[in-house]
Amino acid sequence: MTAFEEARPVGLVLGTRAEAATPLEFWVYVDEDSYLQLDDVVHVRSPLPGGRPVEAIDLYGVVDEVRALQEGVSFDSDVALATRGILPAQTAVAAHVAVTRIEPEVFVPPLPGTEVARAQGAARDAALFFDEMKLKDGTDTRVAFGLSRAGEPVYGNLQFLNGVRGGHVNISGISGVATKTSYAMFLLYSLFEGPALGALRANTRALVFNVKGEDLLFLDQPNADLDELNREDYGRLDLPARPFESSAFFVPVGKGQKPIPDAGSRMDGVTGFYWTLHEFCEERYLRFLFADADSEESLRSYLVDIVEARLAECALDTRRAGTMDGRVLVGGETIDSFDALVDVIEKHITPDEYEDSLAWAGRGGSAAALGTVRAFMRRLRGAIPHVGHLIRGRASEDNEAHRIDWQSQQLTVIGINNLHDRAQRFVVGVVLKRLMALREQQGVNSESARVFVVLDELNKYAPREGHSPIKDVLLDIAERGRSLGVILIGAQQTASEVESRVVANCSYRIVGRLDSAEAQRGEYGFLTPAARARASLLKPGTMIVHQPEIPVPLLVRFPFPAWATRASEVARTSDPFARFELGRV
Amino acid sequence: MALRLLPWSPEYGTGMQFDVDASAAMNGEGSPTIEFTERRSWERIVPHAEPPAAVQIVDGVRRAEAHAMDEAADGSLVLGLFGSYAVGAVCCNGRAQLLEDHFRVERRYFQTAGDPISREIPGGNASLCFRAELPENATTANDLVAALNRKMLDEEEKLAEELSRDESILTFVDGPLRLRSPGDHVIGYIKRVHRWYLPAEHQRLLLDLAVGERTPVFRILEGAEGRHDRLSWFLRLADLRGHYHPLAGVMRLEVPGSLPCDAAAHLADQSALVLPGLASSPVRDPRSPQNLTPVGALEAALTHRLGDRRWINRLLTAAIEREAAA
Repeated sequence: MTAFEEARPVGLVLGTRAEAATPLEFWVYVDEDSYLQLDDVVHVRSPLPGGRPVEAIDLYGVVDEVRALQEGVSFDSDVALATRGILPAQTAVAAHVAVTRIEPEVFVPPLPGTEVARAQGAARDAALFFDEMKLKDGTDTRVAFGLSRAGEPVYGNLQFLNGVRGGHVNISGISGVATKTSYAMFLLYSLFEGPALGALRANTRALVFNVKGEDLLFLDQPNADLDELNREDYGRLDLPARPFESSAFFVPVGKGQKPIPDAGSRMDGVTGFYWTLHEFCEERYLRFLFADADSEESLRSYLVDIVEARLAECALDTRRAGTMDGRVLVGGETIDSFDALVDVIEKHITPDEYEDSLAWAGRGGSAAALGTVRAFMRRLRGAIPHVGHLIRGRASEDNEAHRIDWQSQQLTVIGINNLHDRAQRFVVGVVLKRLMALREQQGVNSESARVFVVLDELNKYAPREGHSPIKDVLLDIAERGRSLGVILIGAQQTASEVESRVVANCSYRIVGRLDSAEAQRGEYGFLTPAARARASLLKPGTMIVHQPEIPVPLLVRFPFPAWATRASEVARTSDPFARFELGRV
Repeated sequence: MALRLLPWSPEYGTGMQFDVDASAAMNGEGSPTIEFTERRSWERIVPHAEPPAAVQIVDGVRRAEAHAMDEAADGSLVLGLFGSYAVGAVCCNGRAQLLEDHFRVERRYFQTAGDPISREIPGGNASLCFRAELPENATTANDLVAALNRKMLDEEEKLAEELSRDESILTFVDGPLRLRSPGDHVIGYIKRVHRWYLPAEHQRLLLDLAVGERTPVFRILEGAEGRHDRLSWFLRLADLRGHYHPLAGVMRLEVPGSLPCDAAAHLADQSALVLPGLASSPVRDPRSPQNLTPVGALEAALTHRLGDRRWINRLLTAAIEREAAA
């Protein structure tokens, strides 16, 4: 017996002129003693006239609109007459179905009068293409994306997530209600804990920037608020309910002399990060201090290029001189702080001010205009209070220990929430640039484990207008990341403010609650009209997921985090001292 | 009274199809005589009672589908008519419900002479059966339409008799009572006034009736030994606005003359209590207020059951075409 035969019909395909059935959408007259609700998955087996090539075709679809009306009424006030028992009127409920799949592909409409059933089991898997989410050898590539409102699992195809057939995820939604970061973390969890990655699971890595609050600094702790119902949700998805097991936390060092992590509520298990002056010069990070796009940019980037090149030469000289403690030698001077580096840069680029000027910016008539140099220096000096503490000379005996190492643990969280906007841009730019450079060196192929990068506020880092070095890196990831095994899970409040190429390269488009005006924009063309309307009503924990294989966006609910998302959620263990351990300096 | 309009939409004629001259000479020759049976004084009556818990109204619709012409065996020309009719009822008992189980749809082929044959015309999943009949005394096309109408009235009557067996429900039938054995709870309501029956001085009372008020019951004497006597009354269905003539808001009703007078008065009270609530408004019905709201819906549902007019016409055309080719 097939799944279809088991399922009781809930209605009949409609065939009025206004609601004619088509191969791509049709209406269902819903039986008086049944109901269909939004997001229900349905199945119709419609006879094929002539019986060739098959006797009947299977149409699958998702309900995206339901309406009830009174038949036999013509005026608004008739409803009162009908209720008072004067006018006979019959209530008719109809549901609109967006067709997701036709098997075999004979594009004929379902015949009016054909029975419609809720798709269950194998029929539901077919309707949502879950049965096709596997490799040629049969390996399951389903990744749990959440639960339908009826509590059934909704999957995405790993092959569109890991770069094989597609990659990248983009999440839009209003801050605070859209739970974008929470959903991104759930996706990572589902990847790491689910079966889809197979043997690559151990080496797959994720890099997450914690942009706001300290939400992500307790991912390795169980969530005390997780209840039995939440655990059931995980159970339905065949996922364990536990915190992230393999994780590392990096926060910027404080502004003091000693490189102590500046983490706020979490003190243990976090590593303070900074870069050495030598790295800064050698790897050419200067550009990321000028990361906010603006109009005078071309002149300044010329200067940035020159200074970067000079500093890289200095770094090479330093290396040759054998000074490898993080400091850098510039024109014979040993520079051991960012302040000093800024001073020495100024000395070398300001035309003719110093006798022994190295004239990095040229000399005499070919010198850069004084105004440009001053503007450059003003910007550079402006960076000192915000970024200076992240670029250090001989700060500690072991500079290596303070480097962001995202390769040792499965999940690496980089806290930039405490940093000023300029420093945030600097950290994001530097980390991503390094990541891409490393992947290129490593010689990645399609069999390699992937790196997933989670970054919120894409509108800041890759704005639609203007140009910035971070945008370059993000575009590089969007366009070339798939081949390097780098997958971007980006998020922003409004996709309309993000560089369109970054968004366009995403296989998965996901929205949480959207502002209703924003939902009408072209960037959300993948949403059906009904989905657009619903996007402005979504509750936290509910998202609309659009994926390449399924022609309609699906509404999913994702489980409450099994990991703590703030200090107060950290589960108390039976050991009364454990919490002191956690809060200990 | 100054000039006022009549509310019926002109394509339906008017609710007043009486002969003005005859009305002036109400008790003239040929007019039925009436007796004032309920009271000595001719004054309005305000009923005080509980309205009936449930009423049901029987109605029907008919449609001429196509006219035809044929040749009889002797070579003379005969006229034919394909027609459909449907009858049904609506019940108001707190909820208004179409009694769809009692709906009847029939199709006939009438011919003025000769040997008409029945035709079964296939259409979609069903087939339409036009049963042949030779109506009496029909010579013109209009006679055939009248025969169709009579068929519908007969069917309405049968349904009304059937439904009125349930005496807990008050049954209303469209038009004058022609039932062979109407129950004690059947009232005929007359949408269109053909005769006032009342002498001119008594007609003044109709103008004074307020909504829900009625005249006393009077007896219409008809036929030998009172065999076709009816007990009748007027009531005001609706208070139309100033530009409509006040007489347009009244309706005549009747019960069989065999009923005791107080039983008739009781039914009259009941009708006055229930009908104003069912009166239609001019915006929703072209024959308001007499074509009651549930009846309007019933007629729409029955017309729908007749099938799409153009579709049936095409089926007929195709069937006759096939016959001609064969």
